Amino acid sequence: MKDNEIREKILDLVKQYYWNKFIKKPFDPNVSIVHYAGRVFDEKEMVNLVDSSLDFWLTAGHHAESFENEFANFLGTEDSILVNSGSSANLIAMSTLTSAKLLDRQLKPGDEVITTACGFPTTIAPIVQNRLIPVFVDVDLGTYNAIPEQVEKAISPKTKAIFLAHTLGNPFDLDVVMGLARKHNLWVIEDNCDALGSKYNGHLTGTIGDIGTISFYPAHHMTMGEGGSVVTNNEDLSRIARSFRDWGRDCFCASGEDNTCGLRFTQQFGELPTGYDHKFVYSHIGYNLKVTDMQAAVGREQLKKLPLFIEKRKANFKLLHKGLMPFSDKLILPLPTPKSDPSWFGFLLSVKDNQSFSRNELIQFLNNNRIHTRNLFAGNLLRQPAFINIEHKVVDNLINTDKIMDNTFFIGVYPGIGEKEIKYIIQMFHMFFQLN
Amino acid sequence: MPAPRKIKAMVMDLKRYQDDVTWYRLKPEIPIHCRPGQFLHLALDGYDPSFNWPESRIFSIASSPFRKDRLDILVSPKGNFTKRMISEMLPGKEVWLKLPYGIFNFNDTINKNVILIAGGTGISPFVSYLETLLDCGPNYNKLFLYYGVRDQGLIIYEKLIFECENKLSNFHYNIFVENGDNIDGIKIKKGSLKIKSIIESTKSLENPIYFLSGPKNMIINFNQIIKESSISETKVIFDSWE
Repeated sequence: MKDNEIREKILDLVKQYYWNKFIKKPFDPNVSIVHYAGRVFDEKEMVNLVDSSLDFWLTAGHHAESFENEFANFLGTEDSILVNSGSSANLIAMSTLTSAKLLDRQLKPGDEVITTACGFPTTIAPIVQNRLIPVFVDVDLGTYNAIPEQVEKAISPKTKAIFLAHTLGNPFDLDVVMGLARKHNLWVIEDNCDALGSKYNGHLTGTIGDIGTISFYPAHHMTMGEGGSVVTNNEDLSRIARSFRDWGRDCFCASGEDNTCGLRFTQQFGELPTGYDHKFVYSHIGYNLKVTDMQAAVGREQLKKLPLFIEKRKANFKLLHKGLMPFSDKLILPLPTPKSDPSWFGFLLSVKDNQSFSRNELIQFLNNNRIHTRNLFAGNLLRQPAFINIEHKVVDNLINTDKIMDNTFFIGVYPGIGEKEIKYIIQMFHMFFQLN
Repeated sequence: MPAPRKIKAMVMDLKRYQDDVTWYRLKPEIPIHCRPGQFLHLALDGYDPSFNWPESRIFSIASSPFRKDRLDILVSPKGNFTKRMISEMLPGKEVWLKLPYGIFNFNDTINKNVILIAGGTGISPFVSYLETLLDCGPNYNKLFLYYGVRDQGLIIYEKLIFECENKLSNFHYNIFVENGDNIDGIKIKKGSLKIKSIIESTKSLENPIYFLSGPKNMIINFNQIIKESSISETKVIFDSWE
């Protein structure tokens, strides 16, 4: 057999394997688990994965390049830089703003970055890792996003950037944040890891600030296992971000390529001799945060499904919101930010003050009935062991952030959840409140 | 910077000039997002993603990024690879491209007096810019093109220059030919590009920005003269390759 015939045979077998192994069983309320999130895929992802493995290119290659282009086209941005996680995307985004190439807009140690303490640790970690000072503002209960007035109050002469997440898909108030950024010449990073497909004022979130970050972890809107992306319309930021991703090098040749710039042996950098091989010139203290081509190959198939995934998330959210409305006297239901059309990551609920039950009692009941829940990640990050002693500032207080730590959780809206599961979830809430 | 990609393209048309200098029109398999002034790598041999990118050469894109169905390039045969191109790249031939690359761009031309200085096939990135201006309208204050070639038979873009003269406001050109006379509709001057006289004739312009593209020796020579002049280095942008 010729190599291409063998390849086709392998891929046919992969398809068969998918249908034997992964075909979803119908929902059974007595045994099925309702996950809060999960990968949703078909045989095409598996075929792409195996096909790319047969290339045996291993590191980022043609699938990674194609994904970057296809993803930038989806978002309508100039560039998307594929990295190995959403957390890496945040690290790259923050580090990019510390580049000396940004001249007077470079962030330097001690500069302040406005953010919230209510969310995932790797929104904050890159601020600390770059020796910048996080300035925490409190959030609204309901939208779970930064209180706009507090963001304005947080601005000092040392403020250089605003780095906020669109909490679980719900966009923060971009009108206010972008307005403040323009007025005070601040950078804006949108942590869009949980909000792929969300819109604010008709524009996709992640594309409105200077840099946006996206996660492709399996729990997210689409997946490639481990993966993330940094997106920007700024050519300078794009080049710097690629440099930080690729060891900090100045050269932008892809793996296995040489002299793409045509100037490999003619330039002069730092105190290096003129003509020192550009391939080994380092402009930044960088990382290696690339993906493998196999991951990107999976991502390309997932990207085709993304519009449907987004619609399904919205539809599930709507059904849950309607079904749980009768409990709005006991629970704070999620509230979309004005002007937004969220692509929800999850359905956030907070137990209201002075209830006869606790958040943990409710989630234990749900868990006992095979409905998975998650807290809003780290709760109040400043209460976490790793963050207790970080240098930081707080604007006023973080009362709501503490309430979220104590009273908030979310259930799933991911596309693997169907109407039967939604009905079951609602039924279980009814049962809990009959018992409590 | 749009993310680079590797694509197939087909030779659609070509035109030979003196000394086998050849203009090619390539049809990319998908529309490409790039900026005027950027360049591509062209490989004659097939690209298999399981292996490294094959031998390739760099060429400035000589067409407007808004004309999505085409990628034009100019090739002057100098070494084995470009000679292979001349003999193998006939209509219907499939080639591989990776693109777009490069930071030579015209982002900083708004309301400025733009001076383009091109030697030989170095006109390519300026063709992309001029076509973009025709597609999108001028964004400069005044635009000057200084274009020098060795022989009259090496003037490639006389039609484009004629179109620019008719359609672009405040567009001025000077074509220098070391050996030649006149072409219908186009004024040419006998002689070579002289950077000192270009500086002299443009020194009174307010807010000028100079773009240079051409053979390596021309760039080195012009760069030296510019450094000795009163023009700030920040106002001079080079398109130079090894």
